[in-house]
Amino acid sequence: MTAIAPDKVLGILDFNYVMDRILPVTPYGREFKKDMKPFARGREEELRDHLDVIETILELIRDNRLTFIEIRTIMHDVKDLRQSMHRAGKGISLNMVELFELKAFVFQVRHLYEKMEPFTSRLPEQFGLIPLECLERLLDPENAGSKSFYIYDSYSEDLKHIRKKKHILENEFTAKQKELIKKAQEDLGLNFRPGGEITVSKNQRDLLEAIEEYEGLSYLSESYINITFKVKPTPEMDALKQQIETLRGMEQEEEENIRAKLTGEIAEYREELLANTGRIGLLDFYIALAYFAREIKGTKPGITAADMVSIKNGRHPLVEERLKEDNEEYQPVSISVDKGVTVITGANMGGKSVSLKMVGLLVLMAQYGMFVPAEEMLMGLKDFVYASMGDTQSVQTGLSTFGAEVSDMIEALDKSSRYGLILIDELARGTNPREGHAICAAIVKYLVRKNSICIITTHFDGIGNLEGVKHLQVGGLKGIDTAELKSTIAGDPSRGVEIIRKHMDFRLYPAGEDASVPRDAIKIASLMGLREDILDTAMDILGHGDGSSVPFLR
Amino acid sequence: MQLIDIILRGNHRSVSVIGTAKNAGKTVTLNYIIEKAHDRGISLGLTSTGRDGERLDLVTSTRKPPIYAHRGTVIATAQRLLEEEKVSAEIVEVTGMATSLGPVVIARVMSSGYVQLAGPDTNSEMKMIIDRLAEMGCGLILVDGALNRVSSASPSVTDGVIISTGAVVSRDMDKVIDITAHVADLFSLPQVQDGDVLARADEITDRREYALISREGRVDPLEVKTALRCGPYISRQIDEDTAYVVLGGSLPGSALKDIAGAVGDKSKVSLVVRDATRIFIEPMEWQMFIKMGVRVEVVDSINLLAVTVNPYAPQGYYFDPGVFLEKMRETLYPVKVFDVMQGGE
Repeated sequence: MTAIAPDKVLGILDFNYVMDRILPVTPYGREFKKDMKPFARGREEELRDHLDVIETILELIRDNRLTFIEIRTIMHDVKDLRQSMHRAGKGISLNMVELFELKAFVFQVRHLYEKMEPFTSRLPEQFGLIPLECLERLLDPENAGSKSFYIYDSYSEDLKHIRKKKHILENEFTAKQKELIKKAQEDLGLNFRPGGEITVSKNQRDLLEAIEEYEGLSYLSESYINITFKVKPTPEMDALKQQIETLRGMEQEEEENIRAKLTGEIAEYREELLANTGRIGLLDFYIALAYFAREIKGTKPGITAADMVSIKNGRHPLVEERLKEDNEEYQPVSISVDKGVTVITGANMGGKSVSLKMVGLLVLMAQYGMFVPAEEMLMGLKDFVYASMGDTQSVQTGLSTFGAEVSDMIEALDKSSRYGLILIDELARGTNPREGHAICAAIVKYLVRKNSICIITTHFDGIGNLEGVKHLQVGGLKGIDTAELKSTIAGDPSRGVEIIRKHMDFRLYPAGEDASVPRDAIKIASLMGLREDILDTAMDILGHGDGSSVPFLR
Repeated sequence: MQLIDIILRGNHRSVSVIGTAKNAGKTVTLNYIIEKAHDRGISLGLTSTGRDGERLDLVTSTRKPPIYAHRGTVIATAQRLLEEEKVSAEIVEVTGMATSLGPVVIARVMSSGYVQLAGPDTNSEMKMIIDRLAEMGCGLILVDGALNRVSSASPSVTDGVIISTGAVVSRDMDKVIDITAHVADLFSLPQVQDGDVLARADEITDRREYALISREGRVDPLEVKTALRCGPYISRQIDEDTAYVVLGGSLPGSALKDIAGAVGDKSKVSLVVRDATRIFIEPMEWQMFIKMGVRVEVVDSINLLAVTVNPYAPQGYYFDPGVFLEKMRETLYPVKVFDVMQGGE
């Protein structure tokens, strides 16, 4: 099963915004997110199980908030080590940094295992991490519990012995050298650089002579202008140096042997290591889904085999977020639709488009296995989701609004006999009203008999009353004292839109049998402060010369 | 008093060493401080400003001279340099800071020897590294610093700065002293005094943006990406009300000329840059502007601890060490000057 909606539709419905808010923190978790696919019709049971896991994790997060913060903190440090795991499997010696990272991973697994242990019985088996005690001991042989990694002495008696001997000899050498430098400084009255070097200009003949006569210094290098001398090591020191170098070589060789050995042992656990990367990823992904559900105050959508969508107090998360930024409240909308056509009519600025988008987005979210921003939701899985919203993208690519819409419609009509969701905002608005009205009515008549659920918003009369069509109306400004509202707006015209929005009832109500499309464009324009003489003329043209139906105009 | 005493006296936790030119004696100075600190039992942390923007082959072919690290020293360097030098080390942390030679790794040296350093290349990353090294118990953190356009981590992030300079800069001893004095002069530029303005300038320069700040504290952003060719534009935006011109990038001499020229009463407008290393201007030109009354202030001030001199140039000429040291001391007074080639007294 691939996408149920083309990228264009995902974009129109702000699905990308929703996806961007699901934030796994491990590279493995991000892969699960990347592979997210909608659940196809017929996989209802799987989707329910999937949503149940999110629900369980949500409950766990609610009751163990701090533990999950700790879990996420551990996960934040998890790196993608699969390359190293594979390299080890191929017998390529891991380098120090790889061993360090693997040690970190092994202990991350341990810590996550311990944090999750009280909860594992409540989650499916594949969420359980597998602690790797053998590797813990291998990479922390001294049981120091520190994050750092070193080729520890305890890996081999030989190594321990070599290092100890080298250390003693180095100290011996340094002590002897310091002694010599000190003596030379006293004898010659000169300051040496650390390491026992001194550079003398060839002009300082007396000093050069004195140095050349001095037993304890040897010539190191020379340029045109100066000579550098170095405190001369004694034969005993030379011998020490040589021994140290030999030991250093032996140490390096032994360290390499040990790295190869460690790699071999790690390779034996390759399967378990890789399994843990997958399990961490899965856990991370579900935790991210649960956190997202928390953030949007989401609920678990009910998945039914029936061909319907029912949303109680649904919210469009992006619109809600924007309103919140402006300190405004989102008015949730409920809607219940079955197969066939539902027409939404109602006031300008009544939120019809947002409601339409909300339905589309929530259906997508549910079908992709997310919780939804609603009090309740019940739906059947869809074969496809289609949306035409007079989208500006097509207009930009050269098609006119109407052209773009027709091309959208052809696609949607083609699919309409399948079980899909088709959303059309103001069908045929981009052309002359007479023909537009006819096209709109014809399309609705066609879709009424199809298997898809169609929701269409329109300003055209009579569409909602066509046979078999369900007609919903936006609450609008009903029951509001419009005269008072107008004077409020007149007092602060810049906030006109905001004030109207505050008084608007965005909820959807079943329209009566003979309900017509509300005439409120003039009302809204008047509220917003459009010139009264123009409004008067508009009324005259409409044949309401006395303005009796809109008393506040007088 | 020895160089090491100056460092330790002021309780400077972190010190960068920067050179006025290649072969000015920076490595000798670093190794000198390392030895002296080791003698006194101070646990050291070592890192270097990164080699931002350099290509990999360039980085590997122009190796910096190695620095000696004693057992127990904590170093922060690129993973590949650590591996190639076969440093016997305990890996303590693999940071998320990327370099062209792999991530910056923090490691404790387990067997004394030479190390190659390539640390982080931004100020914020360098601060994080310094904090980490301090947390791990380093009493003194040395940063092999840089004074050039390439690296963006500035010595201002360390508590103190040491300049290494030497004959390599010029055959003319007076010119070497002049250039060194110029750098020391820039390093003593004052920090913006007004707390609010400082906070604003901090934000602006952090984002590498350009803006004017008025006497009332109003910030007017300038649509400028670099001051290099925008001097005339910036100068046109300055009016009676302008108190500060904040420059998020570098300040070249040409831009300083344009901007200073636009200001009638030079004492009324201050140019503000992130720190002194962002100023690229010839000593003579700089002196001229200062005489004109141009004011330049910084967001991050630099604490210059001392200057080290190297009288020998690898090209084959040299200055009389005694005369060079004496003249440098006279010119830079009260900044302390040391000749580490001669033992650093």
